[in-house]
Amino acid sequence: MNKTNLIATTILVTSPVFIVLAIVLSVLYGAKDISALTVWQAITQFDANNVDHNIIRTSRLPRVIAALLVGAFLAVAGSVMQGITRNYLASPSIMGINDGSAFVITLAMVFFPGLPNYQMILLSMVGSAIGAGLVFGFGSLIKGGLSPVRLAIIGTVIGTFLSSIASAVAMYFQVSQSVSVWYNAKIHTVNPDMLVLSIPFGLVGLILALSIAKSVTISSLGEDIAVNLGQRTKWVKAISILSVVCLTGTAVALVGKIAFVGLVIPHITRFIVGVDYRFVIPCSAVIGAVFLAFCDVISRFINFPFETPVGVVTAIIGVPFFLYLIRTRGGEQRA
Amino acid sequence: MTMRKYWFIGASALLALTLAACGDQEREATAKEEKTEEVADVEQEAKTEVKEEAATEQTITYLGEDYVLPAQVNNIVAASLESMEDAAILGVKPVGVLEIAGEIPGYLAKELEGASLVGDKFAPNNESILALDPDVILGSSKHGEDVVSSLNKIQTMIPYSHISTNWKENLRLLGQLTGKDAEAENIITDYDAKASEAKGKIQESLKDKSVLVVRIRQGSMCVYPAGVYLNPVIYEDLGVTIPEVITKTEAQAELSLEALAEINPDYIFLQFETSENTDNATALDDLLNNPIFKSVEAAKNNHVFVNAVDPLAQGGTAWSKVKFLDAAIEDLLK
Amino acid sequence: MRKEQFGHFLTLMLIFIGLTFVAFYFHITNGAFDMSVMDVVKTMLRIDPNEKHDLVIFEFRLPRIVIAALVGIGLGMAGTVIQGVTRNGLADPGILGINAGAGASIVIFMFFFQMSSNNLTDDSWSSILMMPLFGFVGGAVAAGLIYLFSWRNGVLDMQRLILTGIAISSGFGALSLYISLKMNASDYEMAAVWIAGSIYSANWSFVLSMLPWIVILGYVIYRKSHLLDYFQLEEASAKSLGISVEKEKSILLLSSVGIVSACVSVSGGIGFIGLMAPHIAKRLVGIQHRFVLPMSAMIGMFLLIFSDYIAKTVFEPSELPVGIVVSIIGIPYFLYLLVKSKA
Repeated sequence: MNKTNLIATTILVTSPVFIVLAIVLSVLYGAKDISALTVWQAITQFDANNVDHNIIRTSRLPRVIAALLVGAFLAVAGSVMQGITRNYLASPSIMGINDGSAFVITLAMVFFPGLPNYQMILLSMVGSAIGAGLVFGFGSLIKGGLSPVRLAIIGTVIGTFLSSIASAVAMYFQVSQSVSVWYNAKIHTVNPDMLVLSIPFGLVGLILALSIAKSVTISSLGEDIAVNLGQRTKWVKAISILSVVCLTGTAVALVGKIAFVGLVIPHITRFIVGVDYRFVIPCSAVIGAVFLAFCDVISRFINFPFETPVGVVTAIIGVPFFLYLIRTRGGEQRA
Repeated sequence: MTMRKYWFIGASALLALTLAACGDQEREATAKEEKTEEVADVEQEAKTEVKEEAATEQTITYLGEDYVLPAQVNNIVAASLESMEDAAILGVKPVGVLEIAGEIPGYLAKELEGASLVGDKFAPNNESILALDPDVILGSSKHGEDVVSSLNKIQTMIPYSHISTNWKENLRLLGQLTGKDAEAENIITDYDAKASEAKGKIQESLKDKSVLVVRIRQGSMCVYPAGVYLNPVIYEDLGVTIPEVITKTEAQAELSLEALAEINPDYIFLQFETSENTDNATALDDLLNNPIFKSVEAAKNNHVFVNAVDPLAQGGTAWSKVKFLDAAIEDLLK
Repeated sequence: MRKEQFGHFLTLMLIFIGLTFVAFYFHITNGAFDMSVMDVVKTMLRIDPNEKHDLVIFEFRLPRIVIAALVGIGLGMAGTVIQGVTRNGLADPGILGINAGAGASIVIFMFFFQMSSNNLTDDSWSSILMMPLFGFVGGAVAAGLIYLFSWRNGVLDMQRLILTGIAISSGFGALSLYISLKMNASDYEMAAVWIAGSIYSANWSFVLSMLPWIVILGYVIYRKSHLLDYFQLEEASAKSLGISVEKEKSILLLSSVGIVSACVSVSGGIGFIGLMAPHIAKRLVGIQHRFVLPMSAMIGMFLLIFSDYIAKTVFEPSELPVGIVVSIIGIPYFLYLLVKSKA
């Protein structure tokens, strides 16, 4: 216990270093050559007429911040879900929550074009809630439906259903050109205004998640134990769902559907720091943030100077690692 | 046992129902059929008369391939946006055209008015094309093998080239098919004259300047190789130097704002597919108001031209080239 | 008892043949080309044939229906085998990543072939025949990876199986996406339509290219279908019956990978047929695979013909990818089945 404590503390204490490293890398390297000095000036003495300063301020900084935030949001959402449901497959992308968001956003783009940004974020959250509601609703209606594998399948099925309707609608109204943005996650086109708007929503989600961290640990031991320990399980579940909806909704509204971060990062985190969610939740936030930021940096260089969708990079890195985890850890229930 | 009987009754009832349904539909359908047949007969007679006078077949050579067509080409089905554009500029009325969102594409709607719709560009609908009784189908060199073979079963399909450098052949082909050779030649000579006239001036005034054509697709900025899309007008016909980034582009590549700033072009032609984007208004404004975009040389000097030609324009056709040449000369020499 | 069960199976088969016939009827009599039912019947019976009608029926509508039928049969059988072998009623070639594997290798194939096809267009035939083979390589790689990673102590571990499947399907999905981005724009658009699952441009050469796979591997699977019943028992008891369990499982699994690859190569990623058809079949005829297998094939065929009919008519003359239709109509029913099974 002490040992994992130590590791977790080390991660949290050193995390600023990694985050700063990610920011520095991502701000320094891009399609355009910009010297470190200019970067520094862009931050300290911003000159609105200088192209390089503008690039740093309105493209590279928002981009890395978006990557860090989305990485953290998705990883935390995944951790909370995996802990509460005691389901090692729970994650926003597998449980149809991403698809729910994208579904509602598609409908909104078709029927109410030109909605302001904050409404998009709210709608995206509504979508997350619908997705989560459908999946867990069916999960509890069906015998054994909350078991990891069954829930994963119900999630995949409902996710496919929602995205099928979304693509049929999009095709019919020929908005597929713009809607597909929501399918191919794009961090580099993140809208700075949207980013600023989304921070409060995401923070609410993060704070909620942290506030129930201890209860998540207890829940992850089992429903009976939790009840015996006097936990108000309904409350904990409600708060955790609210937190997941906030986090996922914001992430999808910001950059679209990114798979794998929400599934893989919590696994990696538990692998490193153990099963105490007071450590798992903050650590997964850090690891998720840094992971996605690095993936984003890599995505700039795969096909330089052109962009590659970041989802390709997360999958290329995430899949082998995940397979390795399955191989060595046996994929037994470790939630 | 009773269970089994029950199933049998159910099954036979179902069968009976289907048969009844068939019967009904048949009667209606035959009534309709008779009417259309009469009309068709009249048309048929008219056509055969014409055919008897001339030879029944003609051979058309297009891009080194021979295609055998009926001598008299009346019904043209334009199953590619490229051929639709050329039909519009040449004043040809195809009987069938592709649809976008269930309508004739807006920018050609006036010229192509009255044509039937034959599906979208990925999947031209074989049956609706057949129903139009085409004498020739102008497909696309983008069509896959499977589409080509099905279309050829209906009528000779000429794969209309989407490569910009073939635009003259395309236009001549359409002229030849419709007896508008002279008009086609006129368009070509006009274009060449205009281009060569402007070329000197532009090469002089745009020395060491870079020009970029950017198409916004799926929310990102895309660029194309020098021979693709609207690029040949700028780089070949008007003799502007090809920027380095374009020589590196293989097919369609996505630029970040940052990369655009690095290239820092002096002129930008921005094509934004308005009719396909519902959230267009803000997305385009966002880009134009973006500080990075604004700090690019072109934006500073007011040299960003949004939708110089209709954003749906395919780029490599006579229609696109003629319209874009005019716009480009005007904009670049401003 | 036995006989009664067989009779029950037979009647159900007849009912589904009837339903398939109805779907077939709607599919063949409806289309953008105006043709009366009488004309359709006459054309089929070769009574004073007319060139155009022949074209509509024999070149456009029939191959499409036949492809739908074959793909439906193939996916229905493959789904049954995969569910039987993994002893998991919720396994599906799509969920296990076999579709994605076959898909990725076909996208790779399309990429390289399209590159060279500009100068040699006459090769279309060989390319159509090669597609399933390429698909098979990818599907087999996916299946191999799944085996490799979910094998534990000599048996397939269920949890690992699903996890690996998810990992593999997203991995291959990303690969397809990356490669398709390297294609030129028009190929990319085609690839996107193909990935969504569509059979609108079906022709007889596609039928020919997938028929051998379905017939031969389908026969192999059918011959071995009784083994699937034993696999439902405890591993040890199956072994004690003298069955070399792992060898038979591998044969069955590889056969279904072959069938899935052939289907994916002509129709793209049509999901959920392989999940739903066996489910519905089991609900109807019980758990004996001798009955489940043909029933599931039958149901798959019906579902796909019916969905394709909808796909071609809703937005006529434009097409909706049939994979989307299958998901939209199939999934609610599938969920309903799951909920009902609680009772």
